[in-house]
Amino acid sequence: MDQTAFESDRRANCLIESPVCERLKSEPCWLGIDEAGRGPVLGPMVYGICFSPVADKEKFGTMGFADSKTLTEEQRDKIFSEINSSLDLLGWMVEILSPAYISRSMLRRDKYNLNALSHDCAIRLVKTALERGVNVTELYVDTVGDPAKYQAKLKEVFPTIDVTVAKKADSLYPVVSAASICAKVARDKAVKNWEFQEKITLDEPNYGSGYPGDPKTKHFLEASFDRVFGFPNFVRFSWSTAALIIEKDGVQVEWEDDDEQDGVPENTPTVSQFFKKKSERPELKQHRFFTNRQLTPVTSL
Amino acid sequence: MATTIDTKSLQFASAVDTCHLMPCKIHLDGEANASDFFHSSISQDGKENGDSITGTFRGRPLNGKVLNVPSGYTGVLVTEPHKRPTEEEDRLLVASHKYDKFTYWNLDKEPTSDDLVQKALQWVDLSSVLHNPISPEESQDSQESMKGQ
Repeated sequence: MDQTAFESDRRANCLIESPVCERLKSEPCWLGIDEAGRGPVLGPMVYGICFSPVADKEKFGTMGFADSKTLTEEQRDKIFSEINSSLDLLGWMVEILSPAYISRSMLRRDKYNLNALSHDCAIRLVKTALERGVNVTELYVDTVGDPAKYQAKLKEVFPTIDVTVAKKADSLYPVVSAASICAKVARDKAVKNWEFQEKITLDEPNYGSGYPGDPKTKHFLEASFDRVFGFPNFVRFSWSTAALIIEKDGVQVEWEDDDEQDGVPENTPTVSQFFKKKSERPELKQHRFFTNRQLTPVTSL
Repeated sequence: MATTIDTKSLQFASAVDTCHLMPCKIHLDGEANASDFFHSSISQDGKENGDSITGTFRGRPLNGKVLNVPSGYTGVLVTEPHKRPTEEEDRLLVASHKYDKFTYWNLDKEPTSDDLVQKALQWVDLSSVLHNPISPEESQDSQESMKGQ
């Protein structure tokens, strides 16, 4: 899988897609959606879709797709190359969601949670497939969050498509398994080839699975930590593992929206403040032109 | 309590070509590896806002804009070499660096002319209008226009 586009700017998301043959445009197709790298604190999350003619469901089923998690890396790479030699039968697309994008989204002022982010990415991919002319009639997807809500959301966006949201869809429907393999291959490659724009040097280049419990991942987090900036942008800052290390060992940083999270903002006036005693002398105040702009006068030079 | 800036220190202040005004308070006085961690996060994505840039600090999205220090002014970074023991005592600040342009950053908000920094710089124009001497003709003109009304 050619990831040159992603490698040129790892801060941004990247769409990679196979060619779409004519059959996929003329014949009704089923389409599977799955993701890879949702849990890890490191690296991108990848969404993948795979689509193929409904008429060839049986043939598709014999290609040996299985849930990517049950396969070894070599098996996945082998199946992915088989996928690429069967482009008369199927097509695929993946979107690499960069860890910087995940952090930025989840740490916005109005938080964009991972479920919403995942749903939107899945919807974006299906829309792109439709834009390429793929005649999608059936949609199969592994659930993210509440299956009923996700189903309703997808149904609303794609009213003419038959939507199936199911737990373990990646092992029930081979088209979802194929999507999961594409996503996993993309995620593994992106992690393996990651280059740090922060120029950090690692004594141990293996950062493990990326799951917070993995000792190698823990070691990487410690080794790449900067007390001011936190981590390189390979790390998802919005994961509690990363946030806790920053809170414990990092320099304290205050944001203007810090206190908004727990209801009443600081410096909220109490009611009694509005009933000041009249006997108090009025203070000489600066015009609000200056106070609004946080300007204070210099008295002498 | 008075705050004094040692103006003599200005001539020794070294010029820097990048200076960032962050939308957060970082409780550190000292060096930070900004070039590797922060500058590398900055990108010019200018979709609708031609001169706006984006950056990331601690994973959070920032939107920034480069502002020139108005001509006739110098941007100065001050430090406090001796921490005062109590709040009541006078502060002495020393200029350590100077700059003629700087980047100000908003947290997840496109820069607009309504931002505090941009509004503060309005005072520069306003003060020159207020404090520049008025030539006799100008003052006569304005008096006549007052009468006219």
